[in-house]
Amino acid sequence: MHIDKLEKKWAAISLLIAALFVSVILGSAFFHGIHAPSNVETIDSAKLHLSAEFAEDKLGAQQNPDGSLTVRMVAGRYGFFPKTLTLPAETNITFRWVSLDVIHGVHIPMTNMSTMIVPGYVAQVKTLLHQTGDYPMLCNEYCGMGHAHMWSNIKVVSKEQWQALNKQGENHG
Amino acid sequence: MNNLTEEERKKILESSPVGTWALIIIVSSGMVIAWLLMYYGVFLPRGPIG
Amino acid sequence: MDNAFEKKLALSHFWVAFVAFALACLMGAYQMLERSGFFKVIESREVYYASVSTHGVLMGFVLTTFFIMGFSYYVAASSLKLPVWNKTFAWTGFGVALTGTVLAALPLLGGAASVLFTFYPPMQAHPLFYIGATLLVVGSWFWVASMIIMYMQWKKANPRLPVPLAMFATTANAILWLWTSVGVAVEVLFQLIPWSLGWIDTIDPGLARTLFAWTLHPIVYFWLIPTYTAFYCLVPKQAGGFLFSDEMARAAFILLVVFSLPIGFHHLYMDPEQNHGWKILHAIGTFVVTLPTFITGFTVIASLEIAGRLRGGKGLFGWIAALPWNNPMVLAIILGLLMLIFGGFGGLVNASYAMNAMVHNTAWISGHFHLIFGGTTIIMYFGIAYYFWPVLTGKPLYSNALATTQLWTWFIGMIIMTTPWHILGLLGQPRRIDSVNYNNLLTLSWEPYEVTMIFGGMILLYSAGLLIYNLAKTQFYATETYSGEVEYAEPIHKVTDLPNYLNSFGLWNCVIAVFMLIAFGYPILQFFTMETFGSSTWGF
Repeated sequence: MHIDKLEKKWAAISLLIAALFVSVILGSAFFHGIHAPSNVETIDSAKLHLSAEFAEDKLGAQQNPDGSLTVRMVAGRYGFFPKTLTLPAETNITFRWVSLDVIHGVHIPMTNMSTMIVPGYVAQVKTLLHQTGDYPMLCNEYCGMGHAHMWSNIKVVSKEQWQALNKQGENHG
Repeated sequence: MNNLTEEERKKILESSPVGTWALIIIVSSGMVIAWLLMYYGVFLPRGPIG
Repeated sequence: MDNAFEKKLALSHFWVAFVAFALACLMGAYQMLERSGFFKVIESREVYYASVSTHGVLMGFVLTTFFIMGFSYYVAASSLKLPVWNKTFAWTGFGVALTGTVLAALPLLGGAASVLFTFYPPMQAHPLFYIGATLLVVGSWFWVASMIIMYMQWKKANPRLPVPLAMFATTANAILWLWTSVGVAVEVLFQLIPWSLGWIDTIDPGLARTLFAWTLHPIVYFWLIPTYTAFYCLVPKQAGGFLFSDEMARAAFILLVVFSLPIGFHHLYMDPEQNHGWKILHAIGTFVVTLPTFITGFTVIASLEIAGRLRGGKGLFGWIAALPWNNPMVLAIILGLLMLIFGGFGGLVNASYAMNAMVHNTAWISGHFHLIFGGTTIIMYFGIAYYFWPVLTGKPLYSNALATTQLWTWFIGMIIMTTPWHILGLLGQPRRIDSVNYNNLLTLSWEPYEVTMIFGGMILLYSAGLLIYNLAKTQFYATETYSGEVEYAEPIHKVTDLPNYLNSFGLWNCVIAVFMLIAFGYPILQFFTMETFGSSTWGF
């Protein structure tokens, strides 16, 4: 079978290019923990208000002993709850999202806070927000007629400011 | 249109496609650079994810 | 051989495809204007989402399936020099698929199936939508059977001879479609239809998404393989040259089929119902499937280079200008390959596992698939149409100039529409919104891109009109006759002894089965072994 010598070289180069991309991706994953959000955990979306974790008074940001944050959010037509959220910059945050109705998706533009929210599952994504400021948090999966209205504004403040806010007794938002 | 000799024609049909090679090396290099710029210049600076 | 039946069969399929296309283009234009926010009088969420749902179904399922079937029937008959296996069988498949399309169109147009072309539960559409979609797929399986039977008939009559490349690719595509459609067929038959009819009360959206993801990647290769078939088997001849390598073409088609199937989880990177181990496995497979496209690029461009040099082109790049740019098929491939560079690059970004977070469900995704599908894939469907219409109708093409204008305007419109669309995604604009309502300064940065996109969309609408006009004029108003046949490209090096693995599918079907078991086995099984909670029904 005759294969042109330049075509052979090109086949090898394309393999190397694909290998380059795969190694960067795997390197990020195994050495820096850069992964797609992937915590497989089920939950009954019809009984969230009865669950220990996602009852209304447990939602929002909660500081963990190691200084990181866990933020528990509920998505439902057409908003994200709690409706207001203030978060510290440069802090490890674990977001845990559940849906009370249909599939939603959520992302904060200009950050890597992005995940699908599938009813029946807890979507967990760990990230860190570098910049302070006001960010919109938007639903990005079609969830019905109100999809384009499903959003919140969140505030990202410096670590010190956030600690100060919390000392004053505000746990979320 | 067909003002090639039989010999010239044969030469072309037996030749290696150097123009294709040049084009594809240029385009793929661009793609690799652009991908690296996206990965290290836009994606990772937005924060870690896991 | 008198191909009168095959011509009629192909034309019937093509007209369903292009009528669907024309209607969908009108809807696309409406959506673009509605979403811009500049024309308050046409704003309506209900109409918008009914339109997006219908537009997606028509473009992604009807235009494609019918075009591919029509093209394939004629390629099979003309490349193998065999009649279509069974006329009644072929027409039955057409009828079932068309019936399904019409049934699904009823709730879609009536606003009772505004679940978009992806129809993720637990939002529920009218049962007729799911039943119609099922019939469309079942109708296509008649075509699959016809292709495989004709392929086997030819092989039996021509033992150990290389299957004509165009039919090898077409059969590969039929086999691919059969494997591909299993995912969505299982989802629709075992989950969506029983649920929409009220036979079961709850549904697991995680399982549904996983089954749909089985279909969602390889279906785009089902759409792409006819384009590549034209690239390899038709264009080189139209350009005045030869196919650079028949064997590499076969290898590319096989790699495309085998590696496009077990990689669907790159559509689920941001989903919670699958673990990162599986996502990484599918990511690696996704990078493997880039290889047959890289190889296709080389083989196909090399074929063009040979053609250009034979036409007198000199130097490193002189052959490009020497190509017959006024031949619609040649122009279509040039413009298609240009769009493949940018569409393909976008695909590389999407495939990159965690980096998908940067673009997932943003406007980037919409821009990407309009460019790669609406651009690269479909522009060659147009090229094929311009070449096939005279053959099928027996009338010369009404206007070659109009054809080249149409291709150029499609290309320009697509670039103007999709480039801002990608940027909007990087600026955080979500997908599938009917209007911009966020009370945030970020949205101001989106406006110039929205405006630019409207111009692109309008150019595309004009271009679509030119296509339909030209084809209709050719078929219904031409007075002269045309008696040409489809001419397939010859390879530079005649194919002498072809290894069996490049001339048959038995081995590859086994490989696919093993890959699919590994890639989807446990990820689907897990839904039955872990405790899951079904969702109840929601409207939209």
